[in-house]
Amino acid sequence: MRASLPTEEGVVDRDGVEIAYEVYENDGPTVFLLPTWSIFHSRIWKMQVPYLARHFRVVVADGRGTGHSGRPAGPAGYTVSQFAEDAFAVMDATKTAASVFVSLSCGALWALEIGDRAPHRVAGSVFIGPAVPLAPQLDERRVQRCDEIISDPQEWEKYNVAYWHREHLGFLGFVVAKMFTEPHSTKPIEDSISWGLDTSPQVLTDSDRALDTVTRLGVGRQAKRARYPILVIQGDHDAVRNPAQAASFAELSRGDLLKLQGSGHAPNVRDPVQVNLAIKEFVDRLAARKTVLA
Amino acid sequence: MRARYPDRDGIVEREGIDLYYEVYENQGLTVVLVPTTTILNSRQWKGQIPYLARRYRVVTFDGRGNGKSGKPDTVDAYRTPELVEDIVAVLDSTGTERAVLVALCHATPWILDIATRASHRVSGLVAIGPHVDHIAAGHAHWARAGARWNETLDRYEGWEMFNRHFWLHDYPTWLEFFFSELIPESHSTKQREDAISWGLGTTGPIRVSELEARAQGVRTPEETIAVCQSVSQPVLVIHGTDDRCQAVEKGRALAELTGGSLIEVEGGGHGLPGREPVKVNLAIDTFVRQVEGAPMRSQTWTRALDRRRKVLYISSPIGLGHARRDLAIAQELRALQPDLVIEWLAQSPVTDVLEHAGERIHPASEWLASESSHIASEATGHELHCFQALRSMDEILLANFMIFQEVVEEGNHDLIIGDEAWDIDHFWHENPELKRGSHVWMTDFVGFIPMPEGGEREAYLTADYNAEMIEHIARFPRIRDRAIFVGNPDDIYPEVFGPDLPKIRDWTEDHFQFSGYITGFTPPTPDQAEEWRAEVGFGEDEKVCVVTVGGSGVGKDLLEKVIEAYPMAKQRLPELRMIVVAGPRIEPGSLPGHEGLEVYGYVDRLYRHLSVCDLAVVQGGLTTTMELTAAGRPFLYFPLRSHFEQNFHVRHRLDQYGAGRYMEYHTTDPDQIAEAIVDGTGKTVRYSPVETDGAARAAAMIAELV
Repeated sequence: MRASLPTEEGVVDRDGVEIAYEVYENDGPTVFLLPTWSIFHSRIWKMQVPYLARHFRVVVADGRGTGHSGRPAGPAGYTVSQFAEDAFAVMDATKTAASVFVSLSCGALWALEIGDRAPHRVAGSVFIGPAVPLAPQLDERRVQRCDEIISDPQEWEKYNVAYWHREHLGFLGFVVAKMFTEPHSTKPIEDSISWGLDTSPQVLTDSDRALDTVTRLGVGRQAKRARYPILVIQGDHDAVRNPAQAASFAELSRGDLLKLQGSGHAPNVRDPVQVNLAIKEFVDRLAARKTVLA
Repeated sequence: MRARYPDRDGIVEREGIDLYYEVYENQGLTVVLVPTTTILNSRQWKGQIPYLARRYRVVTFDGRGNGKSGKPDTVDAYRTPELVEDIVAVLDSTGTERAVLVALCHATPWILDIATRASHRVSGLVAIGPHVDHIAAGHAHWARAGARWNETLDRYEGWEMFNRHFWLHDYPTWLEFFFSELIPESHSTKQREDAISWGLGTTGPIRVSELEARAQGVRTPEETIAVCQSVSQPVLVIHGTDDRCQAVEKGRALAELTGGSLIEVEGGGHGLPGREPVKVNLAIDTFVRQVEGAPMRSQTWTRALDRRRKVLYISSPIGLGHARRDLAIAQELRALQPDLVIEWLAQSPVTDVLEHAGERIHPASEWLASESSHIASEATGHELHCFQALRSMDEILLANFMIFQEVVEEGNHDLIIGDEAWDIDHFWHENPELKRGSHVWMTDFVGFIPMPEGGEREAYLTADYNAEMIEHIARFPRIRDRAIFVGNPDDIYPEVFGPDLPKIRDWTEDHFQFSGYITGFTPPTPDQAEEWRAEVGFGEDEKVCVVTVGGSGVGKDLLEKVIEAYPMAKQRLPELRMIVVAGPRIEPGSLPGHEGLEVYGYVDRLYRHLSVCDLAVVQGGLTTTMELTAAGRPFLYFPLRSHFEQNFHVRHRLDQYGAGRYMEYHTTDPDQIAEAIVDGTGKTVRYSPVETDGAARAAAMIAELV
């Protein structure tokens, strides 16, 4: 059973790809919990929705390739631009003029794109473990050779298209363990693997290749251009993304940085209380400034 | 003493009337604390200034008619537009382009006026117990009394004292009545005294002029509502539900009309900044941060299981006595739990001792307002009314509590140990939702005892303070996780807390654990005593008399009187050697000298000298007298006059041990002191033994919590 159920569920068609969304109606500002990389669907926000929905209007969507959304074939279906357009389509369908965005990992790229294209629709943006190439990858990820055939891949060599197709579960087990470096994380790990099994190796492949064009320079420019309030939340035990990326991003975007000592890549799942309170405080502060939120 | 003094103050003149303002400089945002009518002056914000000034630039001023501002007595001088222009003049002359304006009661319409007419200068409004005409029904007692404002009555009872004729001939009686109504909360003696004293900063005729000017300038209901609705800035209204000056409905209406938020203080009266300063301070801070989009407060959070176990130790700075016993407890705690991190929130002179011992002092310690300076400033000669000194320290205790609270909110301390940390214990009981970590309260006395010369009033006040403490603990047993009495049940003063209140001993035995006394050192065995004597340079044939007043700045008079006795004593006892230790706060050179007399400033580990002296002459403080008791040395002690703790609690405890000779400073002349010195020096004494395991026992009680 879920802790809270949406007041409205719907689907919006985007050039033949259906994007499934949920709305938790409430007075006050809208908080849009954005999709992340197409490895997980919107249940990745299960620890946020019930709390935030008591205080704000909440919108969530399954990213293309996951959950109840469509699964286009080929990288062109998974570009940053597609995800940004999906968000606008969901906002239009739910009559959301502007929103506070919350993103996890790769979702940072969609959030930045949204801010770039339609700054008037962004009241503020919270970035959790942002996957922004503003600092080097973690050392242990240098062994990655995504498109090679590796006979017995170890550790980050498993970030490999052939391995995904051969051992989908093996990859999920590996990457989810990297996401939750915190001790005693069995439940978040089980949840995440089960969500991961809901998508497919091909979706992972296409959605990963679609990000080949993301550059340090481009993301850096977007970060500098951002004029809306920003909160960055980063765990210092993140074993998926170098925490220095978040720090650099916060600096470029003049955002506040909340450091979570001992936390991994998905503190929204593993340290949900702190993340929930931080989001709440962030939105409350925006609202108090009488920022126009519809 | 104040908790914080302005960085600059000044006068701005408006049409011949001086306005006195204060500026507390800081980066960034300005908060202007606007005075409320002539009945109060800027001191009404004494609970807010130290806290807000650490975060924002703060400006306040005395309104015309009170404090250090001009006091015109014509009706025209008090018309509303003049009062509004005064605020603008202060903004201008302090270089304040834009600010959050905070007002109480009648000052609300003034700041609404500025917010709507000069909206670019106002980023937000805080209105406490706001008075705004027409927006909701006021209390009937105002209307009834107002209708007879100009009538001469045979008798004036209650609200009838709101009367022009009464004010002109007996304004102080009105103040007493008025503030007892406006601050109806129990245990509010200090807040009422403060308000009355500020009210006496003006006069009946001035207040009459002000009232009559106000009556002429009332807006129509439509105008008032239009002004409220046109406020574009964020608004915070704080209103007590038992506000007998302004009905809470007015606060509700103001919040609604301005689209602001409302904090209702259930059971609160009109004087919230003074009576609920913690709540008001935190509410203003939250509001200003939101209004100005200040950065998030919490920048780092550590996962629970990744945290080291951490203790915050608050050692009372009043006298040096607590420092050594607290160090001894900390050492015993570490012996039980070696991985414990202990941070100290402390101030001089305690920090000197802690630094010397290599302890970790929390950086926020340097923000603390000085309690020992306040105590010293309250002393005159060999007299310290320590109960009143504690009461008048309310502003400093509050300022330091707010700093403490910030430290524990950021610091994730598992345990707070407060050795007579009155501020923490009091304000956590007053704001129990703010408690963080487990809390150990330690003290060596329980109960305020009235000095006989204080009469009925002091008996009433001490009983009221005791009753508040008893009620606090009965209602919120969860605030003190451990209460440790440094001593034994027999040490408790055998009296009651006050009329209809329990016996101190019964209550204390029910609510405390007893650690036994904690000396912080082990007295020497007879063999060691000889070694110590040699080490501190006391000759075998010398009779050494050590004179000390501990670490406080209070006690110079005693040192001088004993020095005056020295030649007489020396004459009668030629082997006498007198060593006077002035302590860190008294300049040794400022004391008179005599041939053969030795005067020193600070002496490291003075307890060693005291432990092997042939006589000590000291004040009536517990630490030093108990050190002498534990070491079995003869001593004369002179309690500070009017100091209830030294005169009742300490004296009673020493009597339990059969220790020391009680002397009264004011009735004893140097000749008598000389005689007592000669009589007491080298005398064999038989005191009851003092335990040496007190620190270990206290640490064991504390360790269970962490």
